Amino acid sequence: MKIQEYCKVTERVKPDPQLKARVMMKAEQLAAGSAAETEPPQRGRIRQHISGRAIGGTAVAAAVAAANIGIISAVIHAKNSGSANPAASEIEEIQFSVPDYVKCMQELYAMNGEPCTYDFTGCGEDLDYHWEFSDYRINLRAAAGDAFTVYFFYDVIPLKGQTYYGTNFNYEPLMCYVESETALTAFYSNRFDISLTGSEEQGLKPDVLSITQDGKNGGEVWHFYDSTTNPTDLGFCGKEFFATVDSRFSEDTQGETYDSSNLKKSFELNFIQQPVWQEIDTTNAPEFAELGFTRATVTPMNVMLSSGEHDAAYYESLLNFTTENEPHAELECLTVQLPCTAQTVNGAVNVEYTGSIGFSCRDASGRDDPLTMLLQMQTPLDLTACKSLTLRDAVIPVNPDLPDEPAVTPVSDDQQQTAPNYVKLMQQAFDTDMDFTGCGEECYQTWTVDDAEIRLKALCGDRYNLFYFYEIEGYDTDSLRLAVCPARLDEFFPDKICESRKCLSEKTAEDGKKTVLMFCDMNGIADMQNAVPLSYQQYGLNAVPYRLTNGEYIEAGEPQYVSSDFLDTENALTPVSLSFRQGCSVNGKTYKYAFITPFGIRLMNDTAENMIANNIKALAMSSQPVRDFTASFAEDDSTAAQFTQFPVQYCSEITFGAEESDYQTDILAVRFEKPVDLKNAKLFDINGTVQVSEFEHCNMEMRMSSSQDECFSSGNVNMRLIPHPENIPEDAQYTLTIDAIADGGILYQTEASLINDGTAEIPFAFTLPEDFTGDQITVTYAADNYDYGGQFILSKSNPD
Amino acid sequence: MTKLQMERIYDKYHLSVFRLAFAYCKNRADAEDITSDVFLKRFEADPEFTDEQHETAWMMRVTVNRAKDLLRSFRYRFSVPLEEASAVYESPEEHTVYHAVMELPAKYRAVIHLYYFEGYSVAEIGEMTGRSETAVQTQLYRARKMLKKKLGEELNGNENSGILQGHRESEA
Repeated sequence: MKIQEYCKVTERVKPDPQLKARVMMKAEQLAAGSAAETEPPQRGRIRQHISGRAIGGTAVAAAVAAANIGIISAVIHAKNSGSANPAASEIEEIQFSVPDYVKCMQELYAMNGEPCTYDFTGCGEDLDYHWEFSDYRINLRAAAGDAFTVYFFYDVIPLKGQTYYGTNFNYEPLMCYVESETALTAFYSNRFDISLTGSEEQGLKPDVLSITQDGKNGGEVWHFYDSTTNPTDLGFCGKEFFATVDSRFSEDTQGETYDSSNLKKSFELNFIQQPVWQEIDTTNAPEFAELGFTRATVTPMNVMLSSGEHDAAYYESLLNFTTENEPHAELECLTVQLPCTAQTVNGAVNVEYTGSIGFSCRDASGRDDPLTMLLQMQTPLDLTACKSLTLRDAVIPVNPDLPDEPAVTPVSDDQQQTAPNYVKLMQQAFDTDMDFTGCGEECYQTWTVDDAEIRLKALCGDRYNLFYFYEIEGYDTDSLRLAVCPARLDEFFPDKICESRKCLSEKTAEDGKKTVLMFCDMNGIADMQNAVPLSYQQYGLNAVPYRLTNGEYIEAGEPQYVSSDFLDTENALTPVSLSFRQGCSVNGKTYKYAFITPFGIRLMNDTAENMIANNIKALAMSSQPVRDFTASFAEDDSTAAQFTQFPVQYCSEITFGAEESDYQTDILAVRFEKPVDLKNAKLFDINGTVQVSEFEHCNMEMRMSSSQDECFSSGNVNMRLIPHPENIPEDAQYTLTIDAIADGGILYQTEASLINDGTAEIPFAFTLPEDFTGDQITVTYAADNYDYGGQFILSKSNPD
Repeated sequence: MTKLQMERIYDKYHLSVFRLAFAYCKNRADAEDITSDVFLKRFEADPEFTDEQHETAWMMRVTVNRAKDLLRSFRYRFSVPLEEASAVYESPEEHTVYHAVMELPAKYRAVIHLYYFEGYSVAEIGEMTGRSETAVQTQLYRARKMLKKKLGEELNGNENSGILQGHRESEA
């Protein structure tokens, strides 16, 4: 084989000829100055002119995601920084009363958009190290953090009154690195293969915390910050640090003439303490347990998860691998997102972290085992009142001896007062008093976009339908929106997914700022429906803010994972997969399975598991509306039952295809105009034929289900019955009699002797009489000695 | 910078930028996004270059960085399948080798692409990708080894000069 084969194919890979025109148009817009200053960073797109206003809420997130050595790719200019140019007297007062590192850390965390008043006393150390070159002086003045992340702060002071801060690409004005001199310096240097180290993720510019004027020299003083992270469970404890300065700083704006001056200064950081490890309680979190983490330690800045105790020699052995198949370790970024809450003596508090850094070990078979994962708090977590931290139902003790939280206020009789927020929001959105308990979840994610704040409030729905609510404070809602959708979908149709939206309420604060409550329906377009249930989405749900810029909605903030546990919850209103007693024909197509919820109906010919196994595409190959469709239900299963028809918003027949095979399957997706309370439903009717009956109240479990191997046609009938006789004791033996009846006569009769183990199947087949002309066959079944039986109707698949 | 100048720059580099981006992200839409962003950055920053080699290295470096940004993003944590529509195979060997390369981890794909297709030296690739020469050599070694494992035989590369020259001439 020759690599030229790759080159030949690659030479045929060319971009869209229209791309040039699009690039030129955007370039002209940028040149006109319309977009350059206001466009937010776009996912996977270039970040240009990132100003403090645009990145305030995501600076630390970007840093965590970007690197293990947090060279944060944000620059705050003086004009956008509230801390810029403070009066000299204020500086003196603050420096006198508060350690420098406390002030620096508060300023750093305030970049997330909210003022930070957390007292970092004890979490850092003021330093006083200097480097001086011909034009500049560098002061390393403070460091703070914990065993896993150390932030350090340094100033660059111009000695000749310089005021120019270059932002050209690859231009590193002056870098001060603080690193730990441990056996694991491999993370930060090229001593071992750099691919191990994560160093390739390193940013190119230091971050500016603020810019002030230097009265003595007349130029600008740049206050930089940076961080270094130790992703092992050993941390930095007892390790020596050293600082070096990269003197790439000159009038050469391309920064090509730098040479690392490497003026090394070693020191110890005494504030770093040994972590206190706690065993993680995963009793209620089997999914979390699969991650392999068994212990954790919590600090105000970080949560560190570890799969066990690993000593330095162990890490060293992983790093010193020589071939591809030997065990080795790798650094990961953004490995997983988990909902997190702190249980405090004052109640539960939502905890946001900005990303995760994981360290994993690959064994000889190529399997990845996680060793550690580091979550960095978006705002410092006050541990004084914190009893424990809950990560997706896994509990990490913090101060287990603290008293329990105050008793919860007694439940009021008034459901409106005690109902979860999502229930009230759904009732408001659909103008109904239906009880949506169990169909949703509260959310707490927030984003800052320009001067506006977006707050996700709640999610609701089922495995195929998703509704969500969010608030926007201080912005024109026509230009700013939030999209919640499966991670696989959000990249394709960010602005179309949320076509169906409405404003539920609007209020104006005293300062004139408007806050609007928005309601969105993810499946407002039938084509967007997933073949695979939302609960099967491998990467869960993402929420992403979008802003209208130049007529196009573009991403205006980092995607955040949103929990969707309610999608799997079984309760009175959430759906249970049903099998039809007989094939259900709609629009000339027959479906085997039904999935009925208060929000809609899903008819399918294959199970979700099979679709996943066949690597089905998430998006439809084709979709067409079905106009002749009705559905209704009755609360009485007598022959005189009164049926209530569902107002249908849309009904679409969608064909999905699989990757790398010719597998295809059809789905009929039906959305009700308004949620339907099915608590007391007993009979279903689709297109004029009662299709499903005898399900238990509330949970809609079938007492018996069947599936057809073939449709009933003029020749043979093939059936497979799957009994689920709840009324028969487990392991009891019984005889089931099955009769197929048509035109008043028995067409076929059989008996099966069964043991109720819940797994039996009864296949039966018979040939119809040659003169049989009926369109329906009634099948009855009954168990001897037990109160168990019923009937269903087979319809001819293609009646003449 | 005038529109004419921008067009000339685009015409000169767009194939290299697009193909490198495609080698990273394996799908046309993202590769086009990256291409667009790289050129916008180029036009906006309008850096001064000492020579053509310097400019080429800058373009490639920015492309690599944009691609890495994309690969780091949350949505790319799931695998993005190779778009078959983007490639036309004229022989089974082409299909086999191309797929083998595209199944490599992104960093190895990129190194293979830059070395064999674009014809850059190890030192130049190191400069573009922000890695040391040793690291690039190691990655090339590993990439070849992986390809050998996938293809069941040693990859015959004949180094990189012929392909590079041919490609660059055609693009110029």
